[in-house]
Amino acid sequence: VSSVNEALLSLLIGQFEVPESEITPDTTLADLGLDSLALAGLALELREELGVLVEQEEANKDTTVRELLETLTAKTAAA
Amino acid sequence: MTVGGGAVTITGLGMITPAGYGREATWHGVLGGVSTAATDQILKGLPVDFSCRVPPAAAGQGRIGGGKAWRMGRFAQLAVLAAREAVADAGLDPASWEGPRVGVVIGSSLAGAAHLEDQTTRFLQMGPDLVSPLLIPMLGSNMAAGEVLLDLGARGPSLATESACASGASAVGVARDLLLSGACDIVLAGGTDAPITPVITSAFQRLGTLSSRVEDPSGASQPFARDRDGFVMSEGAAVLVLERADDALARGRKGYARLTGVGMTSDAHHPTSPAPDGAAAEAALRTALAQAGLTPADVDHVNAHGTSTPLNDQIEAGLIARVLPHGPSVTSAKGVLGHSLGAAPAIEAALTALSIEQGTVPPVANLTPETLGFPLQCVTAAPKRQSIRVAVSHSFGFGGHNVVLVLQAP
Repeated sequence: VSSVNEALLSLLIGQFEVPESEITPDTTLADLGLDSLALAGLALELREELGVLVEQEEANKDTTVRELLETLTAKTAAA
Repeated sequence: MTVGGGAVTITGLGMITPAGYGREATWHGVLGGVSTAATDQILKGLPVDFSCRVPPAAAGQGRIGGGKAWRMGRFAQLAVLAAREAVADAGLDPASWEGPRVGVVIGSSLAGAAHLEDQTTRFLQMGPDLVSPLLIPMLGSNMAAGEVLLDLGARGPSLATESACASGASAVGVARDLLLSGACDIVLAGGTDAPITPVITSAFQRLGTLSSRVEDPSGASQPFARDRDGFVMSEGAAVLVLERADDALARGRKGYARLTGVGMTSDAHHPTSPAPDGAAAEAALRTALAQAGLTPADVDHVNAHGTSTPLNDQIEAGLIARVLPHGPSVTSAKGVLGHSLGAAPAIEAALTALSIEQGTVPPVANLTPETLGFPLQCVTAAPKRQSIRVAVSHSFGFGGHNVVLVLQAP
């Protein structure tokens, strides 16, 4: 779980330059400033980092950080 | 419409080059007359394994910010940084300017080709699912202008100009016309390229255009030298802020220089070789001067295309000696900076404007009076102090595109 958490945080803070203080479990990806291009980029990076395929509806503008983490945790466990 | 009745003024400059981040770093690097070429790890194992690269960013340099750098091609990032510097230099504030009256025209020769190369490798190694959807906005040549206009809220006319190694000069010419036609009031015009990749470098090498002095990279780019053997791959960007001269004066800006003539012609000779007689290039020079209401004898200084390839420099030297036999000072920045393709003409237009403003001509790197292969007044060894009223900047591109800009003291 922690590696999934770290991978997502590292992408949001590093690549997408989201201030760490803005990232809470209930924040949506849109609230973090991610637009459609950023969501596409995020999905690709997650696939590379974690080896899991995130579908478009699993990481859209309304997805919260908690929901995305749950999806990633479940997928990495199943992989 | 005549240019004499409506000159445009260069009121702001921004540059990112192998000599450093910003206008000042580039100007001082070029004045220093020492080549920036060095062995390049990315080109390791290739027949030509050196280039001129924009140095790694120090803290506070080269930052796009806002979580947007990852989506931009490198050529677009360089353009955004140069545009911000140019706009600030011109004393303009994107937060309050009239966005619909601001245009953006930025050319690039190979644009995001480096990213296509990366993604092609990923496609072949890992399959279609790992191709980045961002490739499309990172690839297209329009996206330097696209990211600049988005970054600064410029909502007037915008486009990319494509004329290979003349692209940045074509952009300046088109920008002038947009201003004089009244299409907008301010144009950010420039060129950008980041083409140093293994595949592109291999192709230029196989085309026979690159210097092969692998044992002496910093001595490789030798514009107008007898023993020159090709150009050195480079990258960079420059953006110039252009305004109609009366508008600039009305807000108290004299500017660096006025752009008073633009000559554009085409060789119709060969895809990659310049026409040996230089007739179309000469016509571009003569057209630009006539537009400015000047004669060849008025030219004080030539900022040459000067690539260091055997053919370009021979034809260009012939052109200068023939049309400007009175011996204006000549320089080429490519000795220091290498050849950044479509960015080079914009960088050189900016340097020409600085030469006029500073009364100083930078020397040609790797050239001495003894190695000079032509009867030209090339500046060597140290900067030359010179009061310049009229300067021309030459740019010639694959495809046979010739663009000459006439810049005059404001």
